[in-house]
Amino acid sequence: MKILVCCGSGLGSSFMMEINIKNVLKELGMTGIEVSHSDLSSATRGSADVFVATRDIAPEVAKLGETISLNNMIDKKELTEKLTAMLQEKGLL
Amino acid sequence: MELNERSLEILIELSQNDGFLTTNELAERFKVSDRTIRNDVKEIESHLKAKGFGVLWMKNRAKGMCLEQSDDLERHLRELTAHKDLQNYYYSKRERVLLMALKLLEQSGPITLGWFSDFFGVSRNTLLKELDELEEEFQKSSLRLIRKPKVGLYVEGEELKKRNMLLSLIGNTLTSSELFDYVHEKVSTNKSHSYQYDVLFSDLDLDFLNGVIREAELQLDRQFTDIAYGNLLTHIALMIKRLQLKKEIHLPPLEMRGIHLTQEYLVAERLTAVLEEKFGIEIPDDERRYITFHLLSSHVMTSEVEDDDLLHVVEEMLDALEASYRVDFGPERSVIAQNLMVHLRPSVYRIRFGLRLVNPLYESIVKNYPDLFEQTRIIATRYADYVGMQIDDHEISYITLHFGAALERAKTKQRKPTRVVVVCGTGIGTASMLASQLTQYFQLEITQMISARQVDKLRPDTYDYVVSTVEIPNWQENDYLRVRAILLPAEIERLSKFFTSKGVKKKAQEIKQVQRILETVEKFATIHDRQKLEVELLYTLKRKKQKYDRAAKEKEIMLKDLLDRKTVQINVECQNWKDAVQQGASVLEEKGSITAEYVEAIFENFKKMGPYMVVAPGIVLSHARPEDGVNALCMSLITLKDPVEFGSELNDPVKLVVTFAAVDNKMHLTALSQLMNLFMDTEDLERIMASSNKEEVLAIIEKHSEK
Repeated sequence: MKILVCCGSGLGSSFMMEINIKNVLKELGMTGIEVSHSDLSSATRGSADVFVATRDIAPEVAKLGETISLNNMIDKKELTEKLTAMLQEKGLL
Repeated sequence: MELNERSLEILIELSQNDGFLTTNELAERFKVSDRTIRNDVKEIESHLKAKGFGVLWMKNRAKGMCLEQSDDLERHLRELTAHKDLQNYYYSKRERVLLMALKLLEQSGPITLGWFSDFFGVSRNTLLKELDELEEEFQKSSLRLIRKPKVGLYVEGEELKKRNMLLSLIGNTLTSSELFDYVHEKVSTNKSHSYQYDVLFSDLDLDFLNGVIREAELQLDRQFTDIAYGNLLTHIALMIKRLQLKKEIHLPPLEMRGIHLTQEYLVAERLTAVLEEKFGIEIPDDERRYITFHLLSSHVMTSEVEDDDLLHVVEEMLDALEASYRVDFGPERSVIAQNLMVHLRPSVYRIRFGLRLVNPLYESIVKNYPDLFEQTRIIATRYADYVGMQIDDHEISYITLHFGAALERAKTKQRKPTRVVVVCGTGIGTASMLASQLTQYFQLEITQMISARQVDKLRPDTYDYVVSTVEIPNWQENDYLRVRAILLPAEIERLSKFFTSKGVKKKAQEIKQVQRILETVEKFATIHDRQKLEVELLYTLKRKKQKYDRAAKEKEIMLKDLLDRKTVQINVECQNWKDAVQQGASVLEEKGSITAEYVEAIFENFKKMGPYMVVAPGIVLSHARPEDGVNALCMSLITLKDPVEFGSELNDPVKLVVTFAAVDNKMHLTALSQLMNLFMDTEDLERIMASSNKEEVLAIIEKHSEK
């Protein structure tokens, strides 16, 4: 499975979210999930199974596929909840 | 039709004989059959016809034949015999290939291998072996050498390509000063050259051509360089000869717009009109344009014309040069740019039209400045993009000369060392330790080592910088450079913005290293092209080193390297979100790390994508893209006295503004992940937001800067 984190420029917040996601996945004991980051304009449909973005650009990203929208980029609780829900839905957890 | 040696001798025999000679008499004299003589005579006939001689023969079945004497014929024979003298000269293999190429390009019909064999006085077999090399020469110019049995050799391809090859063949072997001498003396001491002159100028009035070009100089009110003069003269001579053979040139349809409006075109018009009258030829417009391009590309000594796009390219190239050699041209830069403009403006036309400019210093540039030459080639890719074509090595070597001169100038300027005063608590132990490190890394002169208390006695005109390991009372942060007693890589990096690092010397070391490698290789193997290998090795080393440098840098740059006393501001007063963004960026703009465009780009981002950069409650991560005007990787962190609204539904109001600028997609990642760690540490984040003490904030940053 592949997760792509998107932000406006692909430099700052997307990378920071990527670190968080990796940490959370590790804590959940998930392996084999590829996480990377990019800017909004270079992300394409099908380049990932699940997209992650902050709330403000999530509607844009949602056009590309299943998207997790984060209200607070540094809220680990929110991230853990949303990731767990997604993984459970997919039967991975 | 060219004459073979025997035919020529028969012709001479006939011309010197007052009466009639029979075939039989000739056959006896030359010890060949009657039949051979008859064939030779046919050859002579067609030769004379081709050279424009009318019927000169008187033939009588009983008495034989007789040649009518004339001054023209005598002159023609003198020319032919002059060639005969040349035949005794032994041409080198290289000269043979060159001359064959010239002859084939100049000739309209096929030439047999036999003719060349006679001409050079070498066997057909020898020449056959050289044909491959000849073929290669033509291929290089996108022309094809056709060998047809019983017909001979000839060249196929576009007229423009043929002429360019002719020009470059001549340019490669004749220097402009040799050409000059020939124009004025009309003789050449070099056998191989005199044939080239002959190809070019036989039957042409050189003084006249010289006058035409001088006239063009007057009309354009500029003096051509010797090279441009030589090129133009050669070109015009070729043009006349080719037109006489009815070979017109067809210019590629490239940037024709506006050429008719140039001053050069008007001059070309006048020039061609004069030539048309003198030589009785009709010069088509394509030719006129071709001459126009020569005039445009003739080196202009000075010019007032501005070309913004090209200037932009030049500025970019100078930026790259400054960056790769870590120099600052300072106020000299505009002069350097101007010189480069003067050189490049005509060069654009040269490259676009495939006119090859041979640099007589080429070999020595490549050999003596391999590093700079390769660097120039890389930097010149910007220029190649602008021209829209590849740039050949000779043009690169010209740019190398300009760069070399610029660097030399920068070096001499920097020879006056930067004067540094080192300060520590006592002015003794720590200071001398720091001083030795500074001199190890940078080109500077330590003028004094003093204690913090003595600083006030310093006379401002006796130093350029003060570097201190301790805080200096009553001095502002910006007044001196505060460092640790033992310089860390990040600090060295920071200091390198103020001092010239000794990187230049390292380059010389690399070259020495390559020399040593080469010497070792030579012990065990034969090096075919030492120079090229040297360049390649140097390049490999450098690439590797750049990789290391980059890897080292990635590890190096920690959050605390970016967020220091200057870039962290506490309780800044702001009216609104725009103000907050502006203040966060100003800190970096003042440092020179980002440009005004970058700040604009940030605002553009907010406008386009809304408050998405407000990434968490109270935090905005204000940034744009590396290509929006970033000079160096940087970050600032400011806390606002009164939080402001950014229009973010969930995360307003904003208290903490982090502004950053990345130079690529990697270098900033370490610092950014440390920042993330800090944000995740709720306690520390809250402390920063609430703090009114910069030191406290810096301490927290320091804490999160450890991996």
